[in-house]
Amino acid sequence: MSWTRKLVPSYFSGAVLAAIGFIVGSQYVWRVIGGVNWDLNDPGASGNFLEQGFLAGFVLMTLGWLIGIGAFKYPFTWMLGLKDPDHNEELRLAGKDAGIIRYFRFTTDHKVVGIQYLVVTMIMLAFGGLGAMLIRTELMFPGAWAFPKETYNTIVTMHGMLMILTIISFFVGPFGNFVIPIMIGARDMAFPRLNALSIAFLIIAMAVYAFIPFMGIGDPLTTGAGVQTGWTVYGTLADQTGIGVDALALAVILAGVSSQMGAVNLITTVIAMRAPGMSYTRMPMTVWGSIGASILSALGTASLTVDLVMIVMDRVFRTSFFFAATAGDFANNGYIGGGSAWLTQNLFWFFGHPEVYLLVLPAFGFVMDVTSVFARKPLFGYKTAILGLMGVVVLSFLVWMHHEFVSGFLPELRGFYMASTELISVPTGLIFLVLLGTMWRGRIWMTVTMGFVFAFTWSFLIGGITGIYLSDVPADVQLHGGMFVTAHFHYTIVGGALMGFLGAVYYWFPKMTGRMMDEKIGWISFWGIQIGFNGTFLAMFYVGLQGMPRRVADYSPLFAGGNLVASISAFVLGASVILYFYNVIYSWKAGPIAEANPWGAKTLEWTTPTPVPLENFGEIPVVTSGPYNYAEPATPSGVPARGVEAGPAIG
Amino acid sequence: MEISLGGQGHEASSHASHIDEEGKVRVGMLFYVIVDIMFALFLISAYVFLRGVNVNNLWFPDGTKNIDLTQTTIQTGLMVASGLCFVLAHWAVRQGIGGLVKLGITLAALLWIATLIYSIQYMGHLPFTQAGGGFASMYVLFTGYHIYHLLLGLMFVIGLTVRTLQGRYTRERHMGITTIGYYWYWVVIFGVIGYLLPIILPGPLH
Amino acid sequence: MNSRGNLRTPIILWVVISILLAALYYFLAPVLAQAGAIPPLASDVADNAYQIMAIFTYLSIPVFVGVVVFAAYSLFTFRSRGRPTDIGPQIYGNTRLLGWWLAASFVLITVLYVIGFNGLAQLEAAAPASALHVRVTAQQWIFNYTYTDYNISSSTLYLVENQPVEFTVTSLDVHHSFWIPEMGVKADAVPGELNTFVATPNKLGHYTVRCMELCGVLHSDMNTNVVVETSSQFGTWISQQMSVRPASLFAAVQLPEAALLDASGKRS
Repeated sequence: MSWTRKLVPSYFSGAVLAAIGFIVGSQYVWRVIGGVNWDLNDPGASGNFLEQGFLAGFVLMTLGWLIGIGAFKYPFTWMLGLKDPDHNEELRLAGKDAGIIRYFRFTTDHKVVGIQYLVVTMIMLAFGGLGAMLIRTELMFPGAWAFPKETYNTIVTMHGMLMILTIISFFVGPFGNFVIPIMIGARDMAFPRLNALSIAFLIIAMAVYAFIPFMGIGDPLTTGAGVQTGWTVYGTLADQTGIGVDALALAVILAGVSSQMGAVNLITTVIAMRAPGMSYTRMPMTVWGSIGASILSALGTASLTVDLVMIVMDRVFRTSFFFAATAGDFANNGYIGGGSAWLTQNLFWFFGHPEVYLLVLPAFGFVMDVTSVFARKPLFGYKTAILGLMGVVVLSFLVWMHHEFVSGFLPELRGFYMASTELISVPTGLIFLVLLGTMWRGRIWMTVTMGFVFAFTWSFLIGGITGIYLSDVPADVQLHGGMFVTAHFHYTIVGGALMGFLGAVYYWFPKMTGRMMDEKIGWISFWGIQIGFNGTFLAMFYVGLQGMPRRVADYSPLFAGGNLVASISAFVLGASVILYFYNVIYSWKAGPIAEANPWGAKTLEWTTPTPVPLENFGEIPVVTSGPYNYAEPATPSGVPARGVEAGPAIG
Repeated sequence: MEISLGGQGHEASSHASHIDEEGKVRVGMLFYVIVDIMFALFLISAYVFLRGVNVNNLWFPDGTKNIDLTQTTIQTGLMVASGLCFVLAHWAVRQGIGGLVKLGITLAALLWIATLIYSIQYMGHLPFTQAGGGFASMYVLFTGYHIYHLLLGLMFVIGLTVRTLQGRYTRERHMGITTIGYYWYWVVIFGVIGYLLPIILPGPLH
Repeated sequence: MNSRGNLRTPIILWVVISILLAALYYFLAPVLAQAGAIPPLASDVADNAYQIMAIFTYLSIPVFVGVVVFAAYSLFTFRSRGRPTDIGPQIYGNTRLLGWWLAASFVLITVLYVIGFNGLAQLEAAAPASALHVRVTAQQWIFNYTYTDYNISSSTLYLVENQPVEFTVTSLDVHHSFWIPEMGVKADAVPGELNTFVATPNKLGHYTVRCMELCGVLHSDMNTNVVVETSSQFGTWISQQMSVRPASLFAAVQLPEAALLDASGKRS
């Protein structure tokens, strides 16, 4: 294939058109409409045109990207009534015989999309982690000794939002895409083109996101570059802060679209594409966890999008969604009131709370699955586990106002939300029951993945218990807005979702890359992560109790000791994660070649050869039992799985 | 997991016989519309919220005029007419009356485009600007959201019309009309909601 | 390695370790509190909040220890060296255990809820007639205090020991949050809204106010002083202020609330 045919369309042509789009859009607004000159430091550059120019640039950048990667080819073919693509063309689009270039273009094969997601989310994780290291550097000593306060606020915002966006995608993106279709016996996702589109949206979202720290530098009207609102982007401060918030809003909206597309795709795939005999109660728990997360993404993301759109409209078009009255500074800027500051809190948290369950649900499903594999025992209560997962899904929409206990909004409802928040610990507890019951009397094989399962159990337990403190209104009055909250959610999100992710990478690495990850480096990085993680956030609980607020670059000397311990531990954590990443990269190139089923698991993805062929299965299997049937000796090829002997169950 | 092979025959194609291809598109489109409905629900909640906690009589600041009911009725009427033509076409395709299908879809498409043009023109000539208080902000957001869907849906509309005129849809196989119908009906319904909301929940006007 | 295990060992470990940890907490908590692990408590609300947290800690200990003990016991007792050569008992669940687990969970959260509800009722009690009324106005990046009973403004908060205070908190620009750590008083300052909090300081001393909601660049610097003094000291301060700025200057003290009322004086 000639180079032109390889590179057009591809991500490269997409990037070129994206750049052109940005230049055209921004220049048009700045020069033609705004009449400003090229020098963005010119005091004559009006803040509003600057923003509008960036926005126009970003929109055209997204459009250029999508056109450049060829995403519109099929929609236009369909729209103009031209001939539908035949099977060979579908295979070409899926990357048949395309070589390595298929990872750098719009490819529909779910396995390619899965790998693309893995690489993209790991890069995002690296940048989010860098942000965390910068935060801990600043917080190592009192006083804003490393960065000025406005820069620190931007770092905090970017770290938070980037980590959230990463964690939304880092399980269902790589593993939901690569593994789940094979797990349920399908050849691909329900909508392969939509799949390729969702990773494309995530990539362009990150391109927009990357602009944030560079926006607003030198603008005398704003206080520093970037966004200084925290990831919660409350409309009041967001309406006032630097122009970086427009980039943040658009990036998050695009990432939200990506997530919702993935959610619709995953749910439809599971509903419509299961192999014969794969009933809902024979699906591995990973699938159920990912379904739960997809439901939350599909239903809840819109709330955040509405909030962000309103912020941009308030800033650029002078609407007044979040301006209540005419008092104060804003009156001088020509804003009429009529809005409400509570609106932003409600819109944000109606999304924000289901969102955090979205982050951990895939990990819940995964750790249950993998405990069964590494204990050689069926799941202790399949239906219990589903009850737990779906209970969390339903209840997560009924607790959001626990983020507003001290806001003064409808205080009479606080009792209800205290009850609902405490109630959500019941389905969560069921997950623990299933985990403990599966481990009990199993034959526990301590792989690195199983190590991460134990880490998950420990960390989410602490995170969950501290959440109960926060659910209690009188306690929350004292703890809200402080570092206790930060430690709590890091224990649940990092301790839950990240531990699950790291375990999953190690677990499915042989199937996705054909090689095993190095075990020794794996264990070293594992222990480094545990020591660093627990050190950081246990110290953070302490300073939280002492009274340290969140999101402060400068703090009272009272909190110095705890912060120093936290920072040093955080550097250990960071170094260990880097080591883990090194393991991924090194093993991908030079790790030992993996057999088809190195773990002796019984789920469908391990019945395929490695590397997995283009359409996954020669013949679609007919499933005759559940996914944890270790008593059955034979694998489908007729050869017993290594290490699994036939015979009566012991005890 | 126990599986047994064979019984399905060799499939080189991705169209395995156990997969309901049409059902798949139906489910997918349904979920897409559900996601969109959630957007609308949040917009409506925001409207009700702001109207409820309105402070300082800034829902309608002094001097602003209310929307022109005639114009907005025409706009919604065009949208509803489009929906009705689509209903007709959908019924006709299930009866197998090819000519009526083509007529219905074409009319529905033309009315959709008419609504789009009228809406853009209407939004440009509102008696207030978006900077005119709480109601103005919400109204502009609703109208803009609707226009955005009319625009994005244009791809569906044009495509469906072209393909209908090509005669692709029969009594047995007309999944395109059914599933795009979900989207079509939803945009019409949201247009009606946006029409009714300021009537049911207006504000003090002075 | 005994791969059978038994239930007795972990249960005993669970009970013993829970009791030990509870005892440890009982003796360590006051020591740590003195050492600064929590702010020195100075109001009824703060006492209430930390009492609740202490009870929660006692209730959490068996939950925490239970999960850790059973997981650790499984890890050590049932571990296979390397890849397992046989399988575990093919148990698919235990409905009775599930029933007990659910029952225990519901009992536990009911207890938590009752405790919390009690505490919440105390929080929501209306201010008595004898309360001091303080309007807290937050703006970037300063808190201002207006004593509406005396028409006095101040940038330091003066309170009276054992006299209830009703704080009414609002903001002039963005979200802030008014927090007195030692007194457990926290109320978000939301522009355009009034947020009320009632507390009674019960210890003389000097305390701090921190802003607890990110509000811009100088968020970390929005600290002000709180002085809880005796009634006579407070009275002296009040008369000093009033002689410096007589009540007739009230009109000059612009209360944001004025902007929230319509012509007839009602909140619209």
